[in-house]
Amino acid sequence: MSLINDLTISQARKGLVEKKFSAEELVESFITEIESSKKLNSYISYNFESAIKEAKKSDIRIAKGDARDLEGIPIAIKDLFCTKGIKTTAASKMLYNFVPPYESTVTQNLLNAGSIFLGKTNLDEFAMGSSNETSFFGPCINPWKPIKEVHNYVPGGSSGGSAVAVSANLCLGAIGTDTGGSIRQPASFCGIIGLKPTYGRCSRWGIVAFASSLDQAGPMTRTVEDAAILLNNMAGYDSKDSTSVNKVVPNFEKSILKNINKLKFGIPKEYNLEDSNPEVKNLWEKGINLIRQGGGEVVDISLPHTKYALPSYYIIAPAEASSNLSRYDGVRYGHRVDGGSLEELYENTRGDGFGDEVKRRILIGTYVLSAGYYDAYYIKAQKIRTLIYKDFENVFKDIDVIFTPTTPNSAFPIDAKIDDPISMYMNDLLTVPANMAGLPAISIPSGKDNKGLPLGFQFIGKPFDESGLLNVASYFEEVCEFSDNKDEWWKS
Amino acid sequence: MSSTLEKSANWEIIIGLEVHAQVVSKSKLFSGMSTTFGAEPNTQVSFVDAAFPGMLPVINKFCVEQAVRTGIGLKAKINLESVFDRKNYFYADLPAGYQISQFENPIVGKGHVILDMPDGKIRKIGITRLHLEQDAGKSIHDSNSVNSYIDLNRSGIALMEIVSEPDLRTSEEAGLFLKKLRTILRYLGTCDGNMEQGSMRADVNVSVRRYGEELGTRCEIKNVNSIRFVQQAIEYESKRQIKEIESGNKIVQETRLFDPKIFETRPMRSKEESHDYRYFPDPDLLPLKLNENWVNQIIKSLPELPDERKQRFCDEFKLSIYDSGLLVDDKETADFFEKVVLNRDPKLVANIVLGDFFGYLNKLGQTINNSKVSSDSLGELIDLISDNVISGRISKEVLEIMFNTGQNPLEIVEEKSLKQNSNVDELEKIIDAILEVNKEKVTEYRAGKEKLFGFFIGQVMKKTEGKANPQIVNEILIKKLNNK
Amino acid sequence: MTIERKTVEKISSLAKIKLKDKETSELTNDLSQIMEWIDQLNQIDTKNTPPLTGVIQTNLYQREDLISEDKKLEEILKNSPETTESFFVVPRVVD
Repeated sequence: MSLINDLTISQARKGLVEKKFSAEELVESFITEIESSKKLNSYISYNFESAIKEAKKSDIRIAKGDARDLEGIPIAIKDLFCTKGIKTTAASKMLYNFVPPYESTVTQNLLNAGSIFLGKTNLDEFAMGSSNETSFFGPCINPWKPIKEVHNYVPGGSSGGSAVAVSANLCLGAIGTDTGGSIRQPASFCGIIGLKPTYGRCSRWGIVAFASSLDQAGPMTRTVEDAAILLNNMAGYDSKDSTSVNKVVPNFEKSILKNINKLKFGIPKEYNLEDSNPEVKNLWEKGINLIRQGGGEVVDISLPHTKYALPSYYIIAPAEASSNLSRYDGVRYGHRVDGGSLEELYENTRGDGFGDEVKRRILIGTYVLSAGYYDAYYIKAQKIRTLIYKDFENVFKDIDVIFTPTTPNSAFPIDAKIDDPISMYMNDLLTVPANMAGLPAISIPSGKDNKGLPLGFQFIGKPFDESGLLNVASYFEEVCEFSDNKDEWWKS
Repeated sequence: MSSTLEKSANWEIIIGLEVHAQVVSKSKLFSGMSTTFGAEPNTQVSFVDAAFPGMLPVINKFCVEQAVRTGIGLKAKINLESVFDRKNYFYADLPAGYQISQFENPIVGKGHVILDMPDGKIRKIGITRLHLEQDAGKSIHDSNSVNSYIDLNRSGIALMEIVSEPDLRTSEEAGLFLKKLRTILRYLGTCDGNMEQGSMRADVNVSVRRYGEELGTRCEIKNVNSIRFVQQAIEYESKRQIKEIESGNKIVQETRLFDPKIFETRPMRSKEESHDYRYFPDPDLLPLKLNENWVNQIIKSLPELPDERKQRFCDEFKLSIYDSGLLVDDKETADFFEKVVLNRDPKLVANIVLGDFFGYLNKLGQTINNSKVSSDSLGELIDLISDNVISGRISKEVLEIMFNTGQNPLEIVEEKSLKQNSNVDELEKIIDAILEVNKEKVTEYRAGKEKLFGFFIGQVMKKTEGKANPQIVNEILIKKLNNK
Repeated sequence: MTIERKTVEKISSLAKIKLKDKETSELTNDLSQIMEWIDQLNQIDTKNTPPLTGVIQTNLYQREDLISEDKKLEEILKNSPETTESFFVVPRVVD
């Protein structure tokens, strides 16, 4: 029975239509798997009852030959997407009991395509973190860890739960959000595919906001093809989101040609960090050779302001977050701690409802926007953002895609960095620039380090060229031959 | 002159106004929820208006158009690119913890408003800017309770904040400014100007200085909701500040509230949040770019505004500036006047409209729209006067009946036989009889007591129940009295 | 830029977050480190660079003035910790 959990979305879709198994069987199988994998803490809440009900409906549709694109496909949803009637917590005490009376546009699109939600996955509180350790519901655990290692490893973050659910076969695919690397970094840590689309490609309506000018939803899957299938059913213009872009969504599945012949790959020298894991560098070298083998062209490029992307990100994202999170005040929804005055009610509620990292970021954001510091920090950062944007604009005149490692290092043990914010922030060093420029980027498993932990390749594309990225990724997916050989130590 | 009076005569009061005018629109600025006034609490609240997680603002095109229209009406610069910012502060009626407003780049820049002063002079008051922003909800405080109750119906309704330069010098000017602004907004149809329902509210900035000195420290009186209160607040506040300075104290910059029960201002009790609003561009919205052609189309579609209309009334109808001003103050009055004046004597029409007609409207507490007297029937009444069918005196009586019954004036005149008596023979007989009875007075008159002329007129009118044609009576009386 | 304890107290009051003593100390330390790290941005001259207004080049979409939302009182109040009749309830506000 557990065999069908290993399937890709593409295979499962075929199996369902060919009636090798029913959607109900598929869902039941995942429920069993999830129940026996609770150690990983990948889900915050389950949607089993409704999933089975929906699966039955899907089976009827399939029987009638009326199947939609994702009919009966069980997927997992990062608990940052508002789901109507299903508790949506953002992994925060602040929203521990919040049941949205509306469905986010992206999840609605997925429902309209016939997919089935198994549950809501764990994440860093309000998507702020790179290790999933800041969740109010406890850390999520990476199914990968070095052989004979006692310590658990982080799955990365913030979309850690989704990455784990995909990696441990606790769903066929999942969705996450990426503000500074929150899809790509956990994808890299967990040996799966993670795609952050162009800013404006997927609607942000109904996603609990972290940093509005950077947040973007995307698929997390076991294959590049699956990422294309999910993105097909997530993307699209939404007039309810003023930052959504009215552009035709191509059929991404058709862009998977595994062909990089004549494509120009930019290799940015600034991504070659002194303190990167040597295996990261070796793999990158290996990847550059694979470009040549595939008939692609390697171009050395420079993105001179790369180094400043992360510190300016840590001005802009917290600034926006400090304002976005002001609505959590204990009055209309969520957690509340009473006080003798309105002032006290606010302060008590927010003091108790937010965790350490969220407080840190709200305070940084409040500080950089406050009188006397706005120009020196916020405006300065937005100016640097212009420089970063232009860096990319310049290089894309001559190349098709940028090739870099996804992270400077592989996954680390839980608790290793939680008390050192800056070293935690460094995880996003190579992923943040794409967010700052709004560009699409994908991470695919590239190999493993000497501890046997997965590493990732990142490809950054031109605006709205997700098709190009998926094609490139499909080639590397094939030639890298990443093998998922982890044992299922977490199963009870 | 006493020394204190001398002192206060040296003081100049500097006033600037920030007017919050609710935009006339069907739906809110950033959500598709209705703006209707007076709904049950929290029934006109969308998830956007209540700042639910993940909700996003989408701007209402018509509100943008209304702001542009208002800007043009204020002779102001329209900024083809403007930016929405977040103004961050916590308050019970502000669900998102920030208000979407415009800070550094408002949609409308500098303009002006012309005031007609009672002495016939003109004052030009500068407009600093106009920007679009969201209204907040309402906190209701029940005096018996330890709680406040929040109604978010108003949350998210579009406001225009119109900021004046500190060009106003007296409470009278401030009142005239607000009235004129309200007139312009009503002409444009961009705000109904209804202060009782809160669709126009003003923050009043007041400072004082001795003539020739630097500007003093100002106090802001928040949220004053009637023109009279604005004037009373300025009166109180300026006196308070002068008194403070004259007693050697310094004015503290602060926000104050006006208490209309005792005509005083007092400092706000709530903790002043040091006003660090942490403005920054709202990342949920892109910069608002306007198409120049679109703006030009709005310019073309603009109705005639009060200043232009007043000038036209002077030129076209040869009315005085004062009467023209009175007529155009209210768009409905001016429209009504223009309907009545068609093919009639403008001065007579203006006199009747501004005189008797308004007199009755005010007496009955009616408006042009809900009174029983239509422009057509008032026109007919005026025709009866012009055609000498009735006298001006009788017309008042007829008009009163028209107001009460809505009857046609000619009908009234016939029914009550109010027609003017212009029969010379008949009137001569009546006059002869009156002169006969009052021989002594006739002698006095002829001896030079000309004042008695009015007495004779009165007698004739009394005898004829006011129906005698006054002109003819005049002529006969002059002839007979002078004919010794 | 080193952040002082009283700065943390001030901004946490602006952000309406009550901090325990220990938290204030830790945050003072964290924020100092983070802001010092951020200060490397001063290495770049941005005098002639305009701030980015957004990565999207399209015009702001403007919706028609239509009432597209209906009354949703129940859904609006359902998640609230305290309501009376159809109001949200907070401790008494003074103005």
